[in-house]
Amino acid sequence: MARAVALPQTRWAAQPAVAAWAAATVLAAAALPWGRAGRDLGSWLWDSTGVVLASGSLLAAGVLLASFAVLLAGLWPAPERTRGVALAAFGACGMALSGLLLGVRGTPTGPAGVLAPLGFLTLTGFGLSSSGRWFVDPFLSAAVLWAAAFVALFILLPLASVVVASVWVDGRFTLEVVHRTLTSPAFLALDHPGTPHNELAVAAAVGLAVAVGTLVLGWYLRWSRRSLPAGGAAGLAAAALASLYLGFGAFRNSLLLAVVVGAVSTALGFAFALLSERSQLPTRRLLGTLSALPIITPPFVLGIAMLYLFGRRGFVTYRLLGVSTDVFFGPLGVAVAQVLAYTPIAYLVLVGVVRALDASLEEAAQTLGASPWHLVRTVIWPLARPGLANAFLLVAIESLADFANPIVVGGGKPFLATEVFFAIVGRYNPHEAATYGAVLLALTLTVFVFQQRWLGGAFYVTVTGRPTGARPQPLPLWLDWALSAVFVVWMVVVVLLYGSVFVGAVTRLWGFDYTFTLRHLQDLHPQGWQVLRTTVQLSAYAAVPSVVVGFLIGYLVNRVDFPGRRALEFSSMLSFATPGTVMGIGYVLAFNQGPLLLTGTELVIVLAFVFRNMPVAIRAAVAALEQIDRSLEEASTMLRAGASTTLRRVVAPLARSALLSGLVFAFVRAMTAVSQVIFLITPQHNLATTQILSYLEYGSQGRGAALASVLTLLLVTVVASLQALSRRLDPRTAQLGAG
Amino acid sequence: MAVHLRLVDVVKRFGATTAVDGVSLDVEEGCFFTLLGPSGCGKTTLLRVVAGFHLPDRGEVFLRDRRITHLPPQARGTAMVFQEYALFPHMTVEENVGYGLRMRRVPAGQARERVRRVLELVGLVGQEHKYPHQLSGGQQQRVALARALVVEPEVLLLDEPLSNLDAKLRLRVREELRELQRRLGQTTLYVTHDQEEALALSDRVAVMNAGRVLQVGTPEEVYLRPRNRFVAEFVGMANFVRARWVGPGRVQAGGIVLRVGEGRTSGGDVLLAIRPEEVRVRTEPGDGGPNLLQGRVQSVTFLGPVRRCTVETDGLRWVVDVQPDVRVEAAQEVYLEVPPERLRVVEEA
Amino acid sequence: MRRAWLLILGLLLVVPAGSGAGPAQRVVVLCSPNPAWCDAVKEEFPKATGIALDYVRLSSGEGLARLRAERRNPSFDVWFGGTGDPHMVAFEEGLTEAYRPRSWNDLRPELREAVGGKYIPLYAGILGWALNERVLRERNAPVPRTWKDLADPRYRGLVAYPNPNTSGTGYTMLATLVQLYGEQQAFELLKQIHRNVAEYTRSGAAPGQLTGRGEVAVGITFIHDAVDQVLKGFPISYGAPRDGTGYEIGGLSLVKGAPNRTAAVTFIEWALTPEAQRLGPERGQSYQIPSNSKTPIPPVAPRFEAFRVIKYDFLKYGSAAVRDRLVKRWTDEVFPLPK
Repeated sequence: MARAVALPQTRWAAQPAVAAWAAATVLAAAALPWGRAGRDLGSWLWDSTGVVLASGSLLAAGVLLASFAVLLAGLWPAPERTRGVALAAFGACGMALSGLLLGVRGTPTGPAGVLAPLGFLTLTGFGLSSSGRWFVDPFLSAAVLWAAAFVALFILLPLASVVVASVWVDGRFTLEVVHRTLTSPAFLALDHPGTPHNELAVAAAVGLAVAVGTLVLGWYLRWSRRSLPAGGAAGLAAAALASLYLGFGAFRNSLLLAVVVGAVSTALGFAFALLSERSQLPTRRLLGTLSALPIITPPFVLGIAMLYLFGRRGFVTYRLLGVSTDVFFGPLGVAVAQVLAYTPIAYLVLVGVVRALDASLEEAAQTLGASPWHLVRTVIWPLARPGLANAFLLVAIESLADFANPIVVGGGKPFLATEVFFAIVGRYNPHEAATYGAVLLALTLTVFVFQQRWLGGAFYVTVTGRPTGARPQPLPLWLDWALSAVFVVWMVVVVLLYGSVFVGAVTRLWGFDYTFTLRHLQDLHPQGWQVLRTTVQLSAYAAVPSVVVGFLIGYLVNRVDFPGRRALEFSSMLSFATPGTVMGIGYVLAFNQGPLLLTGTELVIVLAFVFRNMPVAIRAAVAALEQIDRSLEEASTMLRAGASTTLRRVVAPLARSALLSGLVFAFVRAMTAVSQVIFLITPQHNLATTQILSYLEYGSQGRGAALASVLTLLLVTVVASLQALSRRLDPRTAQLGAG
Repeated sequence: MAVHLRLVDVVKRFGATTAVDGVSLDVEEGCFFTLLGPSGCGKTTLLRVVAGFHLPDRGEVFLRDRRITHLPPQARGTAMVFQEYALFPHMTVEENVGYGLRMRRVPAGQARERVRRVLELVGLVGQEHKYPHQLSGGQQQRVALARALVVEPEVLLLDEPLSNLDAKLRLRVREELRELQRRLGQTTLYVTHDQEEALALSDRVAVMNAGRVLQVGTPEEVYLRPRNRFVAEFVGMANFVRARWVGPGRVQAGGIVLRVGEGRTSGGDVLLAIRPEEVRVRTEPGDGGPNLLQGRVQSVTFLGPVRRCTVETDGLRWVVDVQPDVRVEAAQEVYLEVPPERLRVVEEA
Repeated sequence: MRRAWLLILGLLLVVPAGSGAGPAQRVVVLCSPNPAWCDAVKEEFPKATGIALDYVRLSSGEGLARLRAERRNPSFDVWFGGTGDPHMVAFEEGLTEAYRPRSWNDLRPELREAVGGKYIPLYAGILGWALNERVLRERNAPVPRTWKDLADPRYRGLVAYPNPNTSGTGYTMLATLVQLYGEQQAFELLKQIHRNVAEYTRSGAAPGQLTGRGEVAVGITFIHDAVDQVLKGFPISYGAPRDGTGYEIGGLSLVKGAPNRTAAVTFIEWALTPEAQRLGPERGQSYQIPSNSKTPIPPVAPRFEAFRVIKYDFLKYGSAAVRDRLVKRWTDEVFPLPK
């Protein structure tokens, strides 16, 4: 019984860890170089180790001192809480001094500049935990600091750089670039001077007409009190839409596109969701493939396939129908391509909604005498409305952010996402690009915040099993046939599109000479294959950290209580809502100089992937954690496992299949990424997507199609084999579900 | 005996609600100590404060003379059995039980021996390689217990561990648990809302309500001498009689004067409690005696071991239990004999 | 189970690790011509010299932007190909350095002189258009003869023109029109042509392909790109305006502060040899007039004698100030106009 009395204050489980981290910090700060000679990550300047610098720089000496202080605090046999306070204080001190040192030096950062601050940060976390101020496991408290630092550095800093670059030109604050960009007709012209009529006046007239029409209708239908506000709202909306429709410029194009694509995709998605849940026709079985399509589609594929099929010499339009039209050049073509690409997203959201429509509610309404029309208006519509709004907003964000389709089928018309690109690569005006980026960011963030606040942020939908209960009523037969017909047309178009790319890869010359050839595939040697390998390589490098960081953040925001939890969650989801081009330019602006010089290295591409795809892992983690009873973790903790052990031994094995699918998604999304890395590619690290774009633009359609086909096949293989693997992993975990 | 676990003025708030409101407790070495109370009374929160999952807003937790208030759960030397057992579904019985030893870096051979011993103790030999979902509820419960016991905790914490078992099994496991605890001399803190369980298992019971401890005592004390209305009502059934002192050992309730065992004479109102089985029912007045009341049966419910009757006497309603072989019917005239020494004064709470 | 995980992790780490080592010396090329040419260069240069080569294909406008962005830390060694003006701007801005190759005297003198030694001529190509006569017939539009013909409303939706923001080809046409008609008139003409433009393409070769596929009837492009389309089997013809057309002198520049300068110099010397220059027509689907007079002119290459080529002032219209001003003016005044 003496075992307990022996220890007046228990030893920390983390104490060896504290000592190890402190020692590593000292070592890094003193013996590793703080600087690099240039872009190259390996070009360490060995004359910039802490020991060397300390003789000439007070700051460097301070950093060294702080690291020794931390080590001392870690080893000193002081009471736990005193030690904690000391660790936290010295650690924070060391962080600040290292930051200052790097900032003052201004040269690219070497290994010490990465490791020492990380060490200080970790020790600050350990210190905070043992100081008793913060009742959190040391590992978790360090993890919170890490997550915050990473998110600040690789998500918030780039975004802030974009906003700053739009108003900070040549070392001074000015609104000139913003003003010039926003007033340029290329950005937005509602009343274009080049046209004979006044578009705004026409729009106002349309709005007025709609308002009056609504009022009259309201009067006729006797909605006495509601008709006035309804009329006003309808009029305003009509006027806004009309002026968008009549207007010009990138802003107009992007916004109108988002609204139209959002509406059409949501409608189609809802129709398909109804089919998948309530159809009695055999076509229903094909709907499963629908959800997989957006995952395995590399960018540009849909766009170029559309030109193949529906262009002026398109296979369908010209060969089959004999029409010669260029209506698919420009916004309409982009809209069609986006609808094809994003309907599956709306479908995935809405299939959950339709599934959740409780059949017994409908039965109840029917027994109360509701006609089908009443049923739709009073039961189905109100229940489905939030889901529909959610789908609409999600698709709108995707459409605003889309870069690949506007650039391929946009007919050279300006869109916000492409203007960011052209401003930087064409006109080399980073400030103008930043302005476009900031506008785009503001737009998507508005939608995103709206979506989060209003709809609770179901950004990804986990497809779960059908709940047991009343069998939902089948669709009326005529509706079933009509919707199925729409779906079949959709499916045929999709098959044709994908097929045309594969066919294009092995035919001599699409549109003219359909002779079979393997030349395009052979021509992938050497550049195409090398690019493909680089893409696989960098995506693989990025996949594991995306999942690890994402899972950790997901765990922290879901299970740990700390100040700023909501902020961390929001900021990490931000990178998902940010258009890729904006993130890309943010990375260029933030990491192109000074201590953070990273552009031109493979690391910056990997980082861009990691932080872009991390939200997928966060969502997967949150979904998985909701299935794991907290008491399992508590049981592990009680048995003396630290948080990191609990994560490794209990949480991770139970979340295995979620982790795996997170890994696949992160990998696949990296493979198909284009907009966020198009500014970051280097000669040694060219990526398949940008190479496809360059083949397409330079008329090597066959070669582009070949590379796209290989990429698509690769993605299909990866997704399918890992799905099979996760099915093998799954049965055991599935039946072990209950804690 | 030495105090093993001591809570001093523990307060825990969640936002605006105070879950634990100034609780002080001493748990002695080897004692089976139960926190009993309705759901939401703060007993689980208190257990989790002891376990280290909650940092109290005020107050301290001591394990012997060691202050553990701010220690994380894994540094406390407590072990816990969860309501839902929280067995790791991806580990076998052996891995589950051995988990804590592994965390303590007990050498593998030694750990295997300890796991075997503890499984023997709970009667699970032969099940080592099964997964939790292959076990019955009772077996799962025993694995959870074994997993907590194998690390030889200072204090074993149990959070309603029997609530997921069916009634028969619950009785059996209860007996086994009690026997095991005695044998090991394991200091145990047990949380339940089931008063019968509390009485059957415990050396000492603390009855809680609304974040406060209302009474601490042996099961007998708590049952037989409830300090207040809540305890009397929560631990078993009770009849309450609102009365007024009229003299030494005499109170007036409704229209009748009752004699009370307690000799206090201070004036004013008083609340008396008596349990249904303590009131005797007769069909004849017999030789009279103190507190013999005439009344009429309002209703009778057959409960198996007893018949529970409601009887009305001069404006007072009594719930009384009679042996099943005593035939009592509704509307029958009966006589109630209320033993004065069992009429206890309790606080209104 | 554990094994499955190790397998995945192993795959993730091992598969990529395969590409680590390579030849010690390498050169990094910013490649602006047809990617097929770039691919051929990437394959042949190491065979000839033993030096590995990496390239990124960027059109010449993008290439200039990239060099500007990396001014302080260039990652490229050589800029290979692309219209000359951006090469010239790059030289003026100190992004590239003058390097006089050993084969300087073998280069065609008219090209050498036109660029004033600011960059090394790699090839010459004549501006013109690709014509899809079938589409023209469908729309009852005649074959255009002059730039002004393109303003005819009959060509509405039938013209493709590379965006001068990103494409050297597009800028060459802009500068040609300015030199032919004077700036004011040139912009008026561009505004009229704008109504007929179906698409402003990002790269200079795209209009040729659009014409080939029949998306448009007239694609403004360098004639050698149109030749490429013809040879690929597209049913098109090509021509140039009779009132005069411009031309380009494709550039080759040594990037200032090149990380691998020695290898870069080796590359430049190699790129000017007849063997290397033959790669363009033979493997690179590029049919310009090679700059080395010893390189045989590909038989299909459009020659100066066949067209009315203006005396294009490369020094003036290649300068950054003029170029930026003209492109900006076009972006503000022409591009956003409704069609």
